Formats: sequence, structure tokens, C-alpha cells
Amino acid sequence: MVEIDLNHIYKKYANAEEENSYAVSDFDLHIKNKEFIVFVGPSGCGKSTTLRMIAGLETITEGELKIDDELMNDVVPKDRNIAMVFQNYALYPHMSVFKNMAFGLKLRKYEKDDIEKRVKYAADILGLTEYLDRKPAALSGGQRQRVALGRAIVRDAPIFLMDEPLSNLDAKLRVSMRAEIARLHQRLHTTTIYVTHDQTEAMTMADRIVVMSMGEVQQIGTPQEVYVTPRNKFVAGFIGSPSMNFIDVTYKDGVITDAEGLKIAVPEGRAKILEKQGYNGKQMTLGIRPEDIHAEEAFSETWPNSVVEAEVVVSELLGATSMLYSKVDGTEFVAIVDARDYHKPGEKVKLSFDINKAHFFDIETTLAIR
Amino acid sequence: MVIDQLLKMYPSAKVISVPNWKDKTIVNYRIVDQWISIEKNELDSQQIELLELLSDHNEDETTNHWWQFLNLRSSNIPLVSKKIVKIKVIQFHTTKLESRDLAQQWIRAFSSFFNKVIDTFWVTSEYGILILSDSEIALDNTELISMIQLVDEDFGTKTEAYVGQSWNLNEELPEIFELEKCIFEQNDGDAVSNLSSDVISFMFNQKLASEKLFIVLKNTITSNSEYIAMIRSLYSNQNNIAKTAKDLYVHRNTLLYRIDKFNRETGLNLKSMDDLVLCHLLLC
Repeated sequence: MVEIDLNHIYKKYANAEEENSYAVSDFDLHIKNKEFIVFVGPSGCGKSTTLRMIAGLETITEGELKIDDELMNDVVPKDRNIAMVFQNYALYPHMSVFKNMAFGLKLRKYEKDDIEKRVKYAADILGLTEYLDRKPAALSGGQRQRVALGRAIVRDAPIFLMDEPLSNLDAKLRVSMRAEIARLHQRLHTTTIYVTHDQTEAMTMADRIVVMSMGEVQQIGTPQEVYVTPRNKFVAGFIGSPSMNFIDVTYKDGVITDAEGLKIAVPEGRAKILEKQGYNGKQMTLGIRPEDIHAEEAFSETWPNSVVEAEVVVSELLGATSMLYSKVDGTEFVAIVDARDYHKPGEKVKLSFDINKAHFFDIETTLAIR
Repeated sequence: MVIDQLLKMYPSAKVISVPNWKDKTIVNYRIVDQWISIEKNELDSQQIELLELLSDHNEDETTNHWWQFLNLRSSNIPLVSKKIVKIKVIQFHTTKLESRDLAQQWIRAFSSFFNKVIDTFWVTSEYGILILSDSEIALDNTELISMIQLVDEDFGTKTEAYVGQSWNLNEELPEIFELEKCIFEQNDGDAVSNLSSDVISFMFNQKLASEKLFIVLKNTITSNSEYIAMIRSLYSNQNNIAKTAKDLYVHRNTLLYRIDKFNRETGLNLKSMDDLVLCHLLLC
């Protein structure tokens, strides 16, 4: 049983002379026992810095870090009982897999029998039993990464911190290791904080996602929450692949238009909200996910006022679906449609915007209008 | 002040930049970061002992022959195989370990990543040296960082290392090492640093950083945290706009807009490598 509290954490580096130049600002999060939390964001957003502050590898400038209600700000890394897996994992070249996994335990003066039991258990979970006598040079990249995970498992620490552990693996291996880490969490139930810049990893593995940008938390929520109800334009654009389409529009009396000639009706319910929030006659950003732009006739017949005639600029057939990079006059967007609705570049296609699923963002604050 | 008094007390005393160990008629002492030489015939044995006590050597400091040579305490070049013409010195600084035994295990674990180790030793309880033959395969920073992370995880330490260049093993080496030591001392927390990564900021901080002109310029460019991230990313991506935009997760046009805005506000054009290097230096 372990719970982690990050109470208004700030990080400022010694060489940052400006008063408000924080690498991490006001990071506030309660992590529940057994939770799998993913910190996600572009490089430099502060996610690894936050993880390193939890590990004790970076000092905390302001705020409190508590593990099971115990203040940890000044506790040295080795006394935090945390196991870490890094992006670039090295192994001792002259030690066998067994010794690599056992070394940390030996230094912590664990009993020999206990060490053997723990290493064999971890090797069994990770499918490394037959490789225990091998040296790292005789292992593949995936096997070496498993040994790195094994070194964390044998510690039996109540908290795992993982800093982009799959970034150095090739795409295929990354997918299989992703599933392996998820399975591992289901089996061990260790409270895990996982850092990645890959939103797919975040969406597929997390119980909750913390989306970060420029040192600040943008949104905390389940994968479903951050995908369906993004708090602001950044989250909306970062989560989802391909990214959400953004078009600057003006709303007026139930219709949105843009400077390039796009004109779409807004369903009554959405229109009421926009008007209630004082956006009638104002500019805003329309956000619509590629899968919410449809090419099916049935959809355009039901919502005739949401149809635009677009020209396909680039099209990609992906098997079950097609990606149509299209434009209406100067407005460009991408739609994911059924493979049967594949169109060649240069062809005209009628596309319907499902405005009920669209998002509107304030042009200044970039916050979602709800 | 101690130096001044010694100069007054001993007529033959001189402040020197590099001690001459070959001259057996003089003695050399490092006192308050300066070298002083005094003719031996001016000193009796008690005075020599006293000067030994006054001189700057940490009592934990090693008597290792490499350390003695690298720090001009001995003019003898350590004996190595004739095949070794060049060496490189890795300096490391880490958290103090609980026992001598653990410290020895730490240094063994760290040096196990290298194949051509000539010598390895602790200078103090937190600072040590690895002497490598030049034929050691060059490791990139990422590999070195991962090695350090591994050792730190196992020993609960926090380590920073400086990887020296390959230098000829001759009497010029101590002077070169002196500068490598100074550069490493200014490391601001990077796990691994080297000459290329640190020398420009080192020189800048030594000579120019305290000039009013640069202070004012720095304040201007750091007024917006967006600018700091943009400059760092542009520099690390060698001014590649597409890579930087991807890194910062902004549209290429947004990045170009910010570069133009920065230009209007500061007069510095980040698309020009000269201006970008200047901004990077100001952030060092």
C-alpha cells in the first residue's frame, strides 16, 4: 500500500536567474495505491524533471513530496524505496544476467537465498530464465530492456518510476514491450509513474494521464477524459493521432464561418452554450478530430448543414481506413474515413463535420468553451 | 596574505605559474591556489615541515603517482606500456559512500564499463579519477549517462563525470589537466560533460558573463520562458526549424512567428547561427 502526494511542487534550476523561470510550476497530484500514472508532454515540458524529483535525483525548490504521508523532500534517493527504469539502460558488461539483477540487492546486504528467489521470480515473469547465465553482449535489445525491468522487479519496491523506457527500442519491439509492461503492472500492482512523449503509450497504458507543457500541468484525467473532454487546445492537439484539426472560426447565430469560406451549422444545443458563454459574433478555434469528419452519405443526409465540398490534397489508404488530407478553399484538415471512401488527390469529396463531437476553444486563453 | 609573508621571509621565494620539479635546489609549495618556490638552502627541516602543513593538500588526497604527476607534485611521468602514447582522464564526483569497502566496489563497478583502464583511484572521498588508454573505444554521452544511472541506482549515489580529451602522455599533460579540472568544477549538474559541451560556456563565464552588456541582454532574452525553451531547442537541433517545432510541439509557422517576435523584441535573429550561439551562451 503506497500513496504519493505531490503538493504544489516547483522546480527552479540554480542557473535560472529570472524570478519566474521554473522548470516545473505548481505540480499538484495525488497518486493512489497501485495506480499507473503517465506523465506525457513534449520535450522540455518538465515531465522527467518531476519524475527525478520524486526519485530524489533532483531537489525540490518549493512544495512537498509525501510518500504515505511521510515528507520525502530531503530523503536521499536510496532511502526512498523506489525502483527506476531509464530510457538508456546500461548493464554491467562483465556480469551475467543473474548477477546484473542481483547486484543491487547484494549491495543492500540481502540474504543469498532471498536474492536467488527474487531474481528467479523476476526472470520467470520476464521470460529470462534461460538467459540468466548470459552476459549482456549476448542479449538482444529487447532482452536487455527486460533485464533492466528485472533489476527493478527484484527490488520489490512499492513504487516504480519509468523514464521513457521504450524510447530506444524499434517500433515493433516497443509495441510488444508496452503490452509487457502493462501485464507486469496488472500482475505486480506496483504504483507506477511512467514518463513518455508518446501519446499512444500514454493512452494505452495509463490509469490516469498527466498532460504537461512548459513546466505546467495542463490536464489530469483518464485516457478517455483527456481524449473526449480536453481542457484546452494544447491537450486537444497533443492527445490523439493524427492530431485534432484546428480552424479559427467566427460564430454567429448558429453558424460558424472562417475567412477561407468554410460555413457549417452548429446544432442547437452547442449553439446555446456558445451564446450563453457570450461568444455570439466572436472568434474562436474549432477543434475537430479526424474521425469526426465523415464521408458517408448517410451522415451528410442527416446533417446537410454540416457538409462541405473539399478537395483531396493527399490520401493514404491504411487498409481498414483512409486518411484524406483535404482543403476547402484555404482551410486544410485531415479526415479518417472508411477505406471504401478512399479518394485520389485532386478529387472532390463531400465531407460532414460532426459538430456535436467538435470542440470550441477561446482564441485568447485557449481553454475549452463548455 | 600568506604568500606575501613568505615572500618577505624568504628572499629567494618566488610566485611561479608552473613548478620546476627537476631543479633539486628548490622546493615548491602550492599555497592558497598559487605556486611558490623557495631555495632549499634557506630552509631548515622544521621550516620545511611547517611549509608542508601550510600547503594546499587535502589530507584525504591520494598519493597515487598519477595524481601526483597530474597535479605537478611530481615530475615523474607514470610508467605505462610503451604502446600507450596518449591517455584520457575521466574525472568523477559522487556522493560520499558509507565505507571504504563500498567506495572500492563503486569504483570497480564504474570502471567495469571500460576496457582499457590504466589506473583508477579516489582522490578524496567524493572525487576520483579514471585513467584510460587512448585506444579505449569512444563512448557517447548517452551511453555514459546510462552507465552512471546504473551505478547510481545500485549505490544510491549521484554522480557527475567529465570525460577528458585524448592527450599525449608527456610533461605538458599536468597543465592541460589543470584546465580540465577547472572546467569540470564549473559543471552545473550535467551527469556527463566534456570539452566540447562545456568549453564555450566556461570561457564565456570566465571572461564576459559579468559584463553589464551581457547581463542586460540576458535579462531581455529570459523575460519569457517560451523564449528560453525555443533557444535551447533551436541550438540542440542545430537551428533546424522542423525538428525544433516537433520538439516543442508547436506548428512550424508558430515557431517562425515566435522567432520573428523575438527578433522584434530583442533585435536578435535566431535564424542566424551567430545570434543563436550568442543567445545560447547567455543561457549557459
